[in-house]
Amino acid sequence: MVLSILGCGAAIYCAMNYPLGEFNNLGPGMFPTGAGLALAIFGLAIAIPAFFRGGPAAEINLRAALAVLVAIGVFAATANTFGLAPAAMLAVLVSILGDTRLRVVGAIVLAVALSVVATLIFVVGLGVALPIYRWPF
Amino acid sequence: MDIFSELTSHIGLGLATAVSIDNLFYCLLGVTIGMLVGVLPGIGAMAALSMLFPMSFYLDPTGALIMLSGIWYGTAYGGSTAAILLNVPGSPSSAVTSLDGYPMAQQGRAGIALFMTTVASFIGGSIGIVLMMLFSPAIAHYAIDFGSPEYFSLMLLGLVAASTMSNASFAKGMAMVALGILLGCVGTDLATGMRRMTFNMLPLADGIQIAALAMGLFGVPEVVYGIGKLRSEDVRTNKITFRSMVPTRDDWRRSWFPILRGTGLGSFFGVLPGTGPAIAAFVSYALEKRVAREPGRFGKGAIEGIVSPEAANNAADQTAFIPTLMLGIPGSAAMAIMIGALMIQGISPGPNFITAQPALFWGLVMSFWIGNLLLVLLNIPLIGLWVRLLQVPFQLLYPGIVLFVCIGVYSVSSSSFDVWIVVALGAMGLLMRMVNLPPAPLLLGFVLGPMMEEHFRRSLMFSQGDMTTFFTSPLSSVIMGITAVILLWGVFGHWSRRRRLALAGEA
Repeated sequence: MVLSILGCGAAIYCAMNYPLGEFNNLGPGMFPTGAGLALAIFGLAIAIPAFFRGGPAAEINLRAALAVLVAIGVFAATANTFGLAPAAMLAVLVSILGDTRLRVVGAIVLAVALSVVATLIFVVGLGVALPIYRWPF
Repeated sequence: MDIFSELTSHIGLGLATAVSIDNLFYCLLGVTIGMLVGVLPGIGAMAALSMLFPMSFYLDPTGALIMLSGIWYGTAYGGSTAAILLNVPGSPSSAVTSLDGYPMAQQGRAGIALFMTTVASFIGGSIGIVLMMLFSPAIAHYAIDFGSPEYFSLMLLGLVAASTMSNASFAKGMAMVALGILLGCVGTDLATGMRRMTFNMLPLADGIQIAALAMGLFGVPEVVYGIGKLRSEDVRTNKITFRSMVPTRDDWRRSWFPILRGTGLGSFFGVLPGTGPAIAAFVSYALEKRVAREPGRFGKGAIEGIVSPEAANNAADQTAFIPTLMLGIPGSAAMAIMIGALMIQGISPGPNFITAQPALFWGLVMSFWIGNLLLVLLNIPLIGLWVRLLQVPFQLLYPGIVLFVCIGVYSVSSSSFDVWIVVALGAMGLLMRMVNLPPAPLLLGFVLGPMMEEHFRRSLMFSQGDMTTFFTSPLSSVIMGITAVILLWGVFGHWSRRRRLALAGEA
């Protein structure tokens, strides 16, 4: 079922590309349009049989997925304003929520340790242009 | 100058490059990380490559490539360790190794299994390297006459082959290739300067970072699926001593030919686009079972069943570099990352690569030897250490991986926008994994798409809009023919398989 949604998505994608091109003389829209068409065709080729079959989607550990994605998002949101170390700690703490087996103390120790290691590798070792910490207020 | 003296001078140059302190260090770093990632189930070579890919920008091109390739072939060594001891393949290419390796461990022959897979890996890898040294210059020499139509056809062949060979269905593979090409189109069009699909977001004008794409597609799903699933238990650690590693004469006698057969198959599949170490390993296992005098032993700890696939996947790891570096056409997702790393350093792989960058090419080849030797050293005496590593719980590891992903992507161009892209692509990667869409063809399409577009345009420019240009040059038309055959085979093979499945379902 999810596959058929994907097929529809492909078609929409394709429609979005149309205004961009269709210049016969090698315009910038030509190649994406072709690829979009191909995606729509193959998307349908997947979606039609999938629609009749109605196969089950693979199960997913929703908690883990959310924790990892939110952790990356938190890092993206905080890195520029607060600097590397606080963002790293937050990201680690959020990602730990994805698994139940670690206790609070362990989580904090791990977050601090990883932030220190990451700071050493990336800022001190490789010279990434990101302040270690920053207080924006 | 005859070929041999030429080769010796190349080897000299390569050794001089590879043995420099810096490059030795990167080589050691690469293979150690590769080994580590290979041993740990749950993180594969692709996750490791995409994680360390941003770090490679800070190295010089030679060091960067040496390190990344070290990770790539190091995982093949490490993967077998987890496969034998845990019955969980550390990497897809060693999945077959667990079929006979784990029974061997249960019989108390884990030491021998580990030792023989290391030997097989080394032999397979070494022969792969020799083949690479011999054939790369020849292929480069031949490919120098290729024009844009030939390149376009070759890339098309590569993409079609890649989606046919992937585990999922042909239509899924092709759809992913198309999606990859679309994503590759995002950003400023090189020829006209027009912005495509940026939705007025300025950071998208430079396109999507390959690092962000690789991490979203491979890194995030691998971590998420690892959480909660991987438990370290039941590791048969206690009985691995040096003495237990010594294989019997019977083991040697049985292993000799399978290793060579595996190497041959692996070298072949490594060069082909779309196939890779995993397929090479599966095919060589099937072959060993077919030629064996007593096929019943397989699955119950037959040594042939572990040495042949291990030789095959290591040989394939090495020969995969031939088309990647000589034609600029990656055959697998990992090779696409290599190309990405080279291009970011301002080096374009292709037939001119050997002559333009002799130190880089031969240094890389020589580093393969050193890396393989290092891996043998890392494997045999330190096996106890790796075994202990298998017991590190995943809940302590994955937050670090997540953090590495974040900072790594950020560091590419110091922009948190790229990190947001990882969130979006990671969600997409998870969805794709749920509905069983293969991510590798997508990455290949992403890397090859812009190159294809350029060659497509250039071909049509020369032929003044005449589409037949792809069929008039003999070489290009042959390649197009092969592509068409694979395409038809993919479509009909898929269809008939479906019908057979349906029939089996009714019966």
